[in-house]
Amino acid sequence: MTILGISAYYHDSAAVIIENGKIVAAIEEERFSRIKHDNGFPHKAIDFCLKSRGMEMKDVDCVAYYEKPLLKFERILENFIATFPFSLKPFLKGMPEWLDYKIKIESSIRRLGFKNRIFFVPHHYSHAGACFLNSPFKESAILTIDGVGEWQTTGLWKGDNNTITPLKRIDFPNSLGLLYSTFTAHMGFKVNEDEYKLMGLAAYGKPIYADKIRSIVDIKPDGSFQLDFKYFSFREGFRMYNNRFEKIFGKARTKNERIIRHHADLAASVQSVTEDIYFKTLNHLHELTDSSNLCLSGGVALNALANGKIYKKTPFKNVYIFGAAGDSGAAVGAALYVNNVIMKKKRNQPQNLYLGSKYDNSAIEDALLRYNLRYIKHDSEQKLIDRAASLLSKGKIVGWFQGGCEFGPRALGNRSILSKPNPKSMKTKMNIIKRREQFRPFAGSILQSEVHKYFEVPEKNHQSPFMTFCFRVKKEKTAALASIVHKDGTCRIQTVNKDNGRYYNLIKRFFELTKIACVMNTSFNLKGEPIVETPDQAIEDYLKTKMDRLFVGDFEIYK
Amino acid sequence: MKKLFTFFKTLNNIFITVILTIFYFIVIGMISFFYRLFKRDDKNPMSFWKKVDGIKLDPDYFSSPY
Repeated sequence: MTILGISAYYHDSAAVIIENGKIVAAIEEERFSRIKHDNGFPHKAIDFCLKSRGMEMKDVDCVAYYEKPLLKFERILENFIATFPFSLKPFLKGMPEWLDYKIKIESSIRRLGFKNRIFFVPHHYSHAGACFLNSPFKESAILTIDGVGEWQTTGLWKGDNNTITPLKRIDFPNSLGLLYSTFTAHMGFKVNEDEYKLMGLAAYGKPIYADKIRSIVDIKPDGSFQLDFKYFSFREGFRMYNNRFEKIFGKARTKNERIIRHHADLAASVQSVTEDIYFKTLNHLHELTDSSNLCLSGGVALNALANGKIYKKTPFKNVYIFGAAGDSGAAVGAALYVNNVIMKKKRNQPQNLYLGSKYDNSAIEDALLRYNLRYIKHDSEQKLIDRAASLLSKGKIVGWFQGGCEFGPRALGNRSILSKPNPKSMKTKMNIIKRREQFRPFAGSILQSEVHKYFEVPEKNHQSPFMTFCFRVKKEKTAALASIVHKDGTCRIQTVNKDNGRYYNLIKRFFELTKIACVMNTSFNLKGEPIVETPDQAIEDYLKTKMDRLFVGDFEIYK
Repeated sequence: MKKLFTFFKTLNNIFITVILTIFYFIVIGMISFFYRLFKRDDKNPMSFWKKVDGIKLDPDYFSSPY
């Protein structure tokens, strides 16, 4: 049974193919279109997925779409009605889009030459499927939490083998994701793109505005909440907040305005309130399900800072967060939901996320000849690893382009820029290369076998393979990890083991040379770009920046 | 030719905008009046969690875009 999963028309359009329950190809449209968070119909992503399996659309048994478009349209219309007459502008913008193509998703799919069955899996069911059905758990509590799907913004579920039972929900316009996005917008950052910047900024401030936020968000002891819409305007306009909101929290920051302490305090405050709702919700979920396992999905589940505290703030012992927890991952969830829940097929083992495009040595060498660069082709993996690890140990910054590209927002060692995790100045150097704001922290990739020696993790050999948790760095290791310890003493980490192939071998060799089991890992892209997709793009970014060396496949490239 | 095309496209966009604006104020406005008249918010001082309709087991439910 071959199922094509699709997400489109909101943000992070993607396509995925599963064969007999196993994800065999998955990629976001942005990697091809080079439009960050591309929300168009994912033609190129679908094309890639089919070609990578030697298939055509006629070979696909069914298509799973990640939401119910008409139900979403119902919410859009009801919102226009509820906010009349203030919603004229979004009405004039939105209606042509909806009538032209957004409600005609079935036609868009049929135009690809597809004649078989199409499933429309509700958005939060897709999120629930993405985390639970990919997890190692036979049973689990499940929380799905995002901006909004059709109507739903939060879902409490119980997963049991091939069944996912909905328990409770919160609907639009009350949304924790949209609350966070409102402050993201107020801070001059982009909604649905820069929420993680707010999270990073929080470490520099104190939550002195938390009580003011609580005065406009009614939070119950069970984690349910309601926003006071005297202060929010995302229902009726293009701006997320209104003048009353600015009276409380100050004038909104403009895009290039200097970030000051006030902004950091706001970031810390909304992070604090978000965590309050998050943990109350999780504790309530635990009461409902009595499970020690937890699966998380939806955009808010990318809040790694909150995730790292789950083990201390809730009774959950085992937590799984699907690496592509946002809307691109919902394409996976929809496909798995159809396969496992509707078709009742057996669940597969959890997988890594190296599901995208690969380039062989011949394609890489063609790219190198186009750019007329000096390079060495290493004739063994060991030689390549030795060279890269040696350069890293000497403090060099290395572009690392290997194997299949990662699915989801994080680079997990196949499309990464790597460096030693010290000294502290390495962070400044890397932020300059990436053309990022200096307050933004970097993540670390660490050998799973050593993780408990460096970070305050719940147990020895703790697994965190998708960079979805921040943990506190142990005091005795802060010097060794100086450039990846954030202002609040935490670091977002990826644990690496033999399943990570060449990347694991690289870090292992680095450990042998330096006695440090961790490297700094940031995504291979410059500001405003999606992660590099082709060897050409990797070479171009390498040439534009002060990266010291580039490794693409078996090739080591010099400037 | 390109200028002519742009002219007609602009005209078309203005036409659509005018039609949608009239629709908005008349149709959406009327529905909005009755919506506000009859809409009742759930009042529960203890919790804002909504109950769900139960698990969807019918595969036909998933065949519909609604």
